Amino acid sequence: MRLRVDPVKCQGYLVCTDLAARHFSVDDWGFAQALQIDVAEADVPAVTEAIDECPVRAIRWIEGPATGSAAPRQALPDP
Amino acid sequence: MVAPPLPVPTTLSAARPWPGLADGLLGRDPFAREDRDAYEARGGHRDRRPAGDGADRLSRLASSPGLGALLGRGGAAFPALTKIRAVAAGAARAGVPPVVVANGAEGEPLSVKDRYLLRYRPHLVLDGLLSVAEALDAPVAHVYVADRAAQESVASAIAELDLPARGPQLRVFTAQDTYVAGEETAVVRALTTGIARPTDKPPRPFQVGVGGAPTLVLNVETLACIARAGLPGGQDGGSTFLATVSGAGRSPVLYELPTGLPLGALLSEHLGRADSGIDVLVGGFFGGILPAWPDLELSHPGVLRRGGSLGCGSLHLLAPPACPVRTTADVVAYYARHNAGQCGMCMASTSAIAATLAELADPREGVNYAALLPRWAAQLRGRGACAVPDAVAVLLRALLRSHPQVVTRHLASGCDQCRREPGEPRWGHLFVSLPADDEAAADGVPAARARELVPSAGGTR
Ligand code: SF4
Ligand code: SF4
Repeated sequence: MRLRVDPVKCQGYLVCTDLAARHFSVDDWGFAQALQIDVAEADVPAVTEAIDECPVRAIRWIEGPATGSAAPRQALPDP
Repeated sequence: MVAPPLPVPTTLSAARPWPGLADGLLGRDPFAREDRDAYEARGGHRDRRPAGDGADRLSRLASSPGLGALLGRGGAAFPALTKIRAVAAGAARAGVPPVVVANGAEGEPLSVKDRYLLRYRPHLVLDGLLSVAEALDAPVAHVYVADRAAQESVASAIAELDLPARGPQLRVFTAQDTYVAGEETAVVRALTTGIARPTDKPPRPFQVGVGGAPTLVLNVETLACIARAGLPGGQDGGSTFLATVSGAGRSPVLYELPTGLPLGALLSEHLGRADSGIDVLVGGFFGGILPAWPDLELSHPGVLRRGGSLGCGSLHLLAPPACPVRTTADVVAYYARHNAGQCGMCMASTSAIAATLAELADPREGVNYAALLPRWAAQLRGRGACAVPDAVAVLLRALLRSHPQVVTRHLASGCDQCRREPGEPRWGHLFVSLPADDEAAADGVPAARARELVPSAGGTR
């Protein structure tokens, strides 16, 4: 399982990077992204706390294999 | 010194099939609207709802010429048949009938091919849409449009069809004419709630779409290709593509080109020469600016190999002294203004990057632009609810990869072309519109009406 930060919701409170630094990074504009790596068993408590503590509930679990550090490429407008 | 703005023709002056393609999507008389009789005369709308169940119809559809290799024409180039099958499987799993949508909301300011098809070839689109809806046993199929001429043409084509009550029913939906209205999840959201703005993925529409049902969203050119593959003579569905070609001070032309044509052949035809020094903004605002290599293969894999994306198929030519940095800055400025205004990271990054690129006219001391630009390209990948941040990343990467010396020159000594007066329009020249009906009477008549209009999210064309 991986994580995704919903960009519509994220307001850049950076609670997530404080609580689970291994799984989130901050861009140059202060918004968070989830690193696209599998969440190890040992990290689940920290990640769960980040999900629960994000003031706008922007973080969610998503299925699928890890793709390395960069996020997966989105489909372009209107496939 | 500030370069004076040039008047630029932005109205389509002609629609031309490549030699030997007279029976393709554009046909012999491109600006005559093909009505039901004309379309049936060339063998269209055959076997409406033939015998067998949906699975039979799906395998028959899958075996039509070229369909297995057909890539979606909206921009993402996703294999059409894979998408159709995913929706069939999703609907079977969920036990609900799927929804099918013909997507004609062409937000790319440099592309008019979808608007063209809806206005002049509505039956080709409807035939493809009905074939797919029948194969999926979808009770309702929507035609999603963003301009009035398209809406009127499709509505009268549906009336001409007089469909039997037991097959799929067709509905037209007119969306807001914005850049992001045609993005798949915006299409689904508009048809469900009326708001044409993207939602974050997953889930994708084939999983959860209109009203919660698995939904197939296919671009209208993709559907026209599917219909063509079913016409007598069985033309390969993906053998040609529509390309809106603009820029270089010429009137824009809509071409139908053989997939894989070398760019040099197109330039010889369009400009009368295939000279060097030209750049090309590929795939609407999406595919990056590349040098116009004569051997650039005009296909999705061909452009991808060279670091760009063919996207919706449009090609905007930048002839000297046009500056690729300036054009990149203009496109990012467009995105800063025409994003859907809902993702914080998209709004913040597009404004900041547009401002920074504009600054390259006179770079500031102490800013490490050479490090910032690739860093931003990496930070934006896959981030937005829609692909606008990816588009900015592609533009930045293509600029750094194809024009490193140009960028270095800007950093060393600025650029005259990039300097601009306050309030000077940024993207008004990066725009193509279809001619009004009375202007389109004769192929080749240059309707060189330089358009004042700045394409706004609410504008129509
Ligand atoms: S805690 Fe939530 S809102 Fe804050 S940066 Fe992380 S994802 Fe964004
Ligand atoms: S990424 Fe940008 S354009 Fe896309 S939905 Fe978010 S704000 Fe809108």
